[in-house]
Amino acid sequence: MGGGILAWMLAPFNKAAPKWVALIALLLNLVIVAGVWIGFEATVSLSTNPEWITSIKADWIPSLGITFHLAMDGISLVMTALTFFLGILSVLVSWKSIDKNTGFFFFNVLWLLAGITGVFMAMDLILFYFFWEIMLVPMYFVMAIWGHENGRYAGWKFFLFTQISGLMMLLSILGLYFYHGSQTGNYSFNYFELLGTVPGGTLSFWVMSGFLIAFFVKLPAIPFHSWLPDAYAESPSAGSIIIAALMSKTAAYGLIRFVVPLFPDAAHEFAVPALAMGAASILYGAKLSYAQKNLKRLIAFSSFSHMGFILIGVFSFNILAFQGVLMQMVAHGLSIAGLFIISGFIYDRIGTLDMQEMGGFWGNMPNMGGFTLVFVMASLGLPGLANFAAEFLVLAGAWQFNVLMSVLATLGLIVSVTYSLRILQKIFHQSRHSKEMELSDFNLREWLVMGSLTLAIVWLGFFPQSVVRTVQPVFNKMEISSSTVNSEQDEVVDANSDYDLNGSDKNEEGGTAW
Amino acid sequence: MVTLNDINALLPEIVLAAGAVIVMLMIAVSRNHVLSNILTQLTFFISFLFLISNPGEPQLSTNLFVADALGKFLSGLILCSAFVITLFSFPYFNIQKEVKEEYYILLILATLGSVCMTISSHFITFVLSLEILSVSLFGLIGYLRHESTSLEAGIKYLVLAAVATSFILFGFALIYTKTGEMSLGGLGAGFNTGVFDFSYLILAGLALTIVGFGFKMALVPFHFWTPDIYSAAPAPVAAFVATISKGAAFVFLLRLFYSIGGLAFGSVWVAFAVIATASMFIGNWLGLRQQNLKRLIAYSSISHLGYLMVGFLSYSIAGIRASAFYLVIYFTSILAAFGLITYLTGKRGEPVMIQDYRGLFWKKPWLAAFFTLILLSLAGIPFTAGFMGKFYVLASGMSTGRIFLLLALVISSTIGLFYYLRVVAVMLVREEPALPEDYIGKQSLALKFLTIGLFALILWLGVFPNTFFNMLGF
Repeated sequence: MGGGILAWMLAPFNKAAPKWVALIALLLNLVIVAGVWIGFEATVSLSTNPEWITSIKADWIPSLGITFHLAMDGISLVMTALTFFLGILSVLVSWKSIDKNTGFFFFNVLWLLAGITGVFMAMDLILFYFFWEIMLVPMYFVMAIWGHENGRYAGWKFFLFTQISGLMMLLSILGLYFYHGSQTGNYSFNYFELLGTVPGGTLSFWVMSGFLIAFFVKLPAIPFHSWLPDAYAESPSAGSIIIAALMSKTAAYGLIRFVVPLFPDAAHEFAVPALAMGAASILYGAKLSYAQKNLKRLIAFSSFSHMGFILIGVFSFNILAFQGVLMQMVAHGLSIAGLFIISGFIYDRIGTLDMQEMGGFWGNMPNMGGFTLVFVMASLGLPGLANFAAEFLVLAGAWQFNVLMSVLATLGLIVSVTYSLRILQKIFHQSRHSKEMELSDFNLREWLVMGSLTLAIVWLGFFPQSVVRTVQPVFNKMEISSSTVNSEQDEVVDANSDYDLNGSDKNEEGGTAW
Repeated sequence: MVTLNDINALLPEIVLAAGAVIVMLMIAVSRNHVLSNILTQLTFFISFLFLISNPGEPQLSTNLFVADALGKFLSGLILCSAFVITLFSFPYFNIQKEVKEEYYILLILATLGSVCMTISSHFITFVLSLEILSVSLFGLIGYLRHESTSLEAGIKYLVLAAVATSFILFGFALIYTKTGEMSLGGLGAGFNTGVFDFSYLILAGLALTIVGFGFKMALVPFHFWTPDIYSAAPAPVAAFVATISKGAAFVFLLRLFYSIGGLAFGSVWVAFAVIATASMFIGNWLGLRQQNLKRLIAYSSISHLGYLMVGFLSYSIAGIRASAFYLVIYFTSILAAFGLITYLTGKRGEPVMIQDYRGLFWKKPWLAAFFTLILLSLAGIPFTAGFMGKFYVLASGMSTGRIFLLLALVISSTIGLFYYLRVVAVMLVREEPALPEDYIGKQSLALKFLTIGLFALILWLGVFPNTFFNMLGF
């Protein structure tokens, strides 16, 4: 199994060939992941707590204690499966629309996916950082070469933002490394060894903030979002899908995997501001989204708004919210990919993304309209579709932690209806502006893409349990470990947790009164 | 007394000196470009072999030189770079109108000076080696004497190098006045036992030396000459100035301040920290609007020396290791960058404007990929050599808790990223590149191999730095 994973890691690295190679490589990967998943399902029924499904480990830079350590647990499994599924879709989407330098394009896409997969599996912080950064350069190329008019500018902005935040994270990683080394005498970047070391007090806060900056920028959360509309809107559709549906998930994954377990108390202290940021992102994103004329920018801001739920879920620290976050990661990945794909298809047909010039497409393209309806409904959180399950879980979890924030976030759901419906109304129903446009409906390839996405999103809407079950063991363990740390912490710094409790109590009262 | 042992330890330098003489004599017998080039390569190669056979233990020969692991590593690095530069030089000078053979004498002499600097343990040997280096460099920089810019650059360097040397000499003199010592060993012992202290006279002396070294290493605010010299000098020579001469000066700076413990003294440390921070920021800042590629590399190298100083300032063994490793990375990247310019040089001159490279990505994808890799390495993106260098420097800084400097490094390197990306963006434009038709890389097989070699090296250093890190040997 380890060998299979190694081959799968190497496959995207080596192949720079055009679309068929890309497609086959990704299909192969998806099959492997599916195989792992099925195997995992089997083991679940046998043993109660299989924490790590597979892992490979090799020395890399022994003098600094850096290892090449990849491992996979439930979260990684779900996320890698999502990565490859959406990877295949993005290859299919670019099948026709990328006509220049296809080889280099697919090379970049594969590298991107390799980086993202690596992030989901890396268990060594330096390795994690490597994969984290490996996503940047190909993404820059994708935006700069195949993007829309302002692609180069967008690529620049994206690169600079993520680079500086990534370096902050590197500093934090180093800080953690030396702290751990000075405490235990064992200098290592390994996640498991660092897990136990919790620097106390302000140090912990500063080290955590390095990670947070990196993740907030990529997520993005509210003050760090200014790269987002440009990057999302100017990429080609494959790029938009990857960046919105997968790359932002790496940040969410980072929060779950690193910030919460590595810095439990600092994260708890930071919870209220983080929740506020989440709620603000939801509302502000929704508002901006409503005001956009460009279809892709609209979708971009809606994605920004939805990422606020992830932030809220992560910082609510209970199992319900964590499950919600994971569901949201998957569901949002699917629905946003769907919307971006649709916008890509529209762009292929009419050559613009300006919504002023669209309207009345339903007449010509009922199929597209139908699918758009599905994804719009998903994005506004209609019950029965995956996003509803996710957002419901997050909000339910957040309610237990902080009612005010959860109420604010719920408001976001209402606003999301407005902008989501606006997509549908503007593009498909309104009387048409441009008179004579040859608009063909979906062909087979497009049917395949949208059909599979719709299937996935409906399936998850009705059976969220299939994902939740996979990650359950991990979250169980995480909650236990975080609560044990908390109870220790209770004894050590009593005043601290008291304050927390009081704070949430007060908020609860405030919330009910309101 | 000079013993046989000392001579053994100094064999690499002796070979270099002999090589210069042999090349000169050969020219007297028959002028032949190929022959002089091959002799030069041989000289560097043999000298390198002797160097490898040297034991790594510190061994003082005659109080003037010290053959230790740091010196050995850096000398090896310098010899390798000089070898690479020799290879670059052949096709480059082959198409020039000047007489070519004397160039190699100067090249060997300059290398000799630099190698001696890395093993100097006494003021006098340092100043002598410095002068050997500087005097040969005037000649090298102004070598293309039919081009007025090249000559001008040579004279500029002459004046500035002379000023720098005199600052250093004056500084040394002040230190000597107070302590009566000129060998690093003696000074170190004196400072460590508390016989000497950091009185005002000593501090003034150190300040003057810092100024001199600042000129040599082009640290802000003594950096003004770099862009002019780089852009006017022939590309291989510019590579030499950017790498070897800076690296050699850095080693002695390291020896001096580590042996007397100067960095433990607050104000000295602060002075260096200010210089380092200023170099990082101003270097990257000035690079932003550059249109000339060689000037851009010049500013980039200013900021890189600033990063290097972060390793130096951590004042620990890890710091020495990190800086030595950083030098490897920096040498490789800068050599590759100038190598690429050499590669694309035609009869009409070097392609120095960034605009010349527009559309390179579509016309010559491999070259463009190589160039992109170099730029990313200079910018310090993972999986290239540059990242690993930065990583070690950051780690060494973090181990001694110099957060402020590290933040400066991070922020300034992001500023720098901006102009590296700009060059990449230019290469992505869909236009015909304005490169010379008959660029020399087309014919020269050696140049092709060298380029591929450097390409591989940058990646290798970026992915498996351990191989090289183990070579440090200290």
